[in-house]
Amino acid sequence: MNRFIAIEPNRCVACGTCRAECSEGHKKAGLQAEPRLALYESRDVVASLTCHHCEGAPCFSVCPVNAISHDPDGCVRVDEKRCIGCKLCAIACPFGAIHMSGTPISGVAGIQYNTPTFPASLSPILQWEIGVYACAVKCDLCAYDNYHPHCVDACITNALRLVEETDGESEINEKRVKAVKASLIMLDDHQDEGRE
Amino acid sequence: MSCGVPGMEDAGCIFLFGYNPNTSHPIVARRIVRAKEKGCKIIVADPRFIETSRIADIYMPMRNGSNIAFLNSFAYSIIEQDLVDKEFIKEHTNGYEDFVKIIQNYSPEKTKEITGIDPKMMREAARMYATAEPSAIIGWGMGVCQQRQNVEAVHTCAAIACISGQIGKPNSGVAPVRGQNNVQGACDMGALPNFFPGYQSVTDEKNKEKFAKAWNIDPSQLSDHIGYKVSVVGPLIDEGKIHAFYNMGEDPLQTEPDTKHLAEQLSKLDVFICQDIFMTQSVAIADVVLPATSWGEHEGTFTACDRTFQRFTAAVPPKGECRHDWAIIADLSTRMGHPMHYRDTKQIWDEECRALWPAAYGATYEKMAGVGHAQWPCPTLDHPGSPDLFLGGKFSKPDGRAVLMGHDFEYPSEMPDDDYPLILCTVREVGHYSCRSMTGNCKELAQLADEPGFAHISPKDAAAREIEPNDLIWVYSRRGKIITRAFVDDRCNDGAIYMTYQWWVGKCNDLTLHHVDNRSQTPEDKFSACQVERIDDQLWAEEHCQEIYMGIKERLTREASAQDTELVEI
Repeated sequence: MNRFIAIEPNRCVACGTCRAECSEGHKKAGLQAEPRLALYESRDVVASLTCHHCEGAPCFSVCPVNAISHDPDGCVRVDEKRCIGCKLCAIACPFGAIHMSGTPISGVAGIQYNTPTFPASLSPILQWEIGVYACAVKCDLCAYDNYHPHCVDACITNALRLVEETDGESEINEKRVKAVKASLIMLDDHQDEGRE
Repeated sequence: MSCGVPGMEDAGCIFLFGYNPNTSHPIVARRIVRAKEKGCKIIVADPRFIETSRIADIYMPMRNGSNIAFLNSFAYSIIEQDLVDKEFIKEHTNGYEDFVKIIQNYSPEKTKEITGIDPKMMREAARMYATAEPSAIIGWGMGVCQQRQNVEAVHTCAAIACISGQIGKPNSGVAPVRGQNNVQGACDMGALPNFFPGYQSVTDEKNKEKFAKAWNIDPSQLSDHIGYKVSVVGPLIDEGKIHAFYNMGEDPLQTEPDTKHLAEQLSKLDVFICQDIFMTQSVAIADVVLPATSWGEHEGTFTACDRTFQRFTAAVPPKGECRHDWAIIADLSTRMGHPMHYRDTKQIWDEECRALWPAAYGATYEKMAGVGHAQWPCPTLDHPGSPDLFLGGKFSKPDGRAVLMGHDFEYPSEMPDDDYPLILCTVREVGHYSCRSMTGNCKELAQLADEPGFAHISPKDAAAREIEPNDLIWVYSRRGKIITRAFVDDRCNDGAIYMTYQWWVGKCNDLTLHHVDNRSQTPEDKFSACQVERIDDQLWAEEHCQEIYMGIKERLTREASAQDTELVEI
């Protein structure tokens, strides 16, 4: 079975609530606070993107310390404590769904003013902050909360949804019905042919 | 707004003019998304390809600052294609002939150099709007209000709605979706220099008598002229007309245009009093600080942009010495010689609002209990509230008719030139609000977006300056120079950059022009001239940003720590 979070891009209003909810939910569960959705903004499309929990997940194949698991129910998860921050998964992921992040030296609740050691325009995969052990951070379908994704509930336009096994079928069916109906237009034009 | 926000879903056409719902009102953006899914036509006119442009049926890439030329051309296209509602014009408006005299000079062909809009598109959009069934709405925001010809643009939008007959019926008309949270409520309650609560003019003798009687004073004690607006406080201090400023819940040193100049002006005040919840840049220079309760610590009412009164209740008790705004005002008033005492906000609402503003009389706390609401006009206790205004074409002028007013186009005050070739336009972002006294102190929101904020710049303008995404850049104008981060954005039009006015370090208001029109005194925030430069040493720039940010935070903390020292008897 495969489950993942999909988005209806024309409903996305780029409000970022999904990212805020994701961050808070994971932080409360003692996981990295980095939001696991990326908001992509451009002329052609604006959408929140996240992990597809691929069947043949490249991140899973490439991890040298087996920190990434592929659960039987389809969820691909990173064990944040086991990850060594080698970034191979981030490079291998075709969707850019893996974010590198770590707890700052001030700790989980602390506030710090750090002296920057690199410009923010540097690629996130190349950034390295002194004293911060960065690990791979990715969508885990909110496994810590019974696989109840917080971002889906948070989205104010219902653009995000959790696609599950049963969903896929009815959606494919709908598409087939639409396609057949489109073909019926051709049938109407010719329905009198070959009849007296 | 002449319609309600929920009803926007059921319009036949929504025309957004100078308004970006996604960043300003995500809840309204939600309605527009739903409207589109229900078959509503969407027209967007904006220099940027905003989110709503992606789902629009017609996106009109108009030029910054061309509002009146655009609207006149739009009106022209409705009249020329014979799409006017002759019956509506005849029965419900005055001034059509004079209006046409002005509009007739603004054909789409004549205005296309100014507006940048192809004449065919202008006519198509005008047709889509004017013929929409069952109704059409023109939604606007600061893109209309913060320009040189703001009042003129409002007049023209209203005229367009009237001549097309797209007003005076459900889910139609004019929808100025308002800028600030509860600006509608502030205006409703008369926090304006020319109105008592309920838009009753302060210079009208009958109104003065009514309010004087309610307040138990002689009418002669009330001022006999209209007061000043906040946007002209600075210049009036320079002129020696203002010596004291009692500032509540506002950070003018962050949110007013030409902030560096304003800081000089405010320093000339004899008395500067600030009532606020957190230490801000303005509170830091105040002579007296009155700590007030925040949204989570007090209860009351507010008005949504569509005239809906709603109640809110406190989540936590006030901290430390913080007091409710109304309690502070009442205390000050008593000490100044006019005794004022209220039990709670309900008493204020009943005695100062409902008793004195007929349209609000039916808006009781009972109606607003829980998630209830009352949408004014709500004149009687059993009235259900009014989602739509002007039904049947009855307007609030004495003869019940709308006045059609047309205006000629004028260029913005400060056009770009060789020294400052880019247009600076200020906009909003969704994750932070206004001066960031609240959202900047929220860790969750600060984690998603923090100083120095971004300037959105088109790929072409960025490439010409060798600017990469997330590079730190200088932005400067005749009035100042600031550091911010570049967001290379293909939704931006060439020749203009867009900054949000939230950032203390990337403070675009150090650069904006202070020009106010002589009627509404709203500043021309949306158009001034600037230049952008990449900073060569990016690491130095990051450190410099941090230094400025830390400097501001330390200064604010130091000012706030004054409250921890013991009071000394003098």
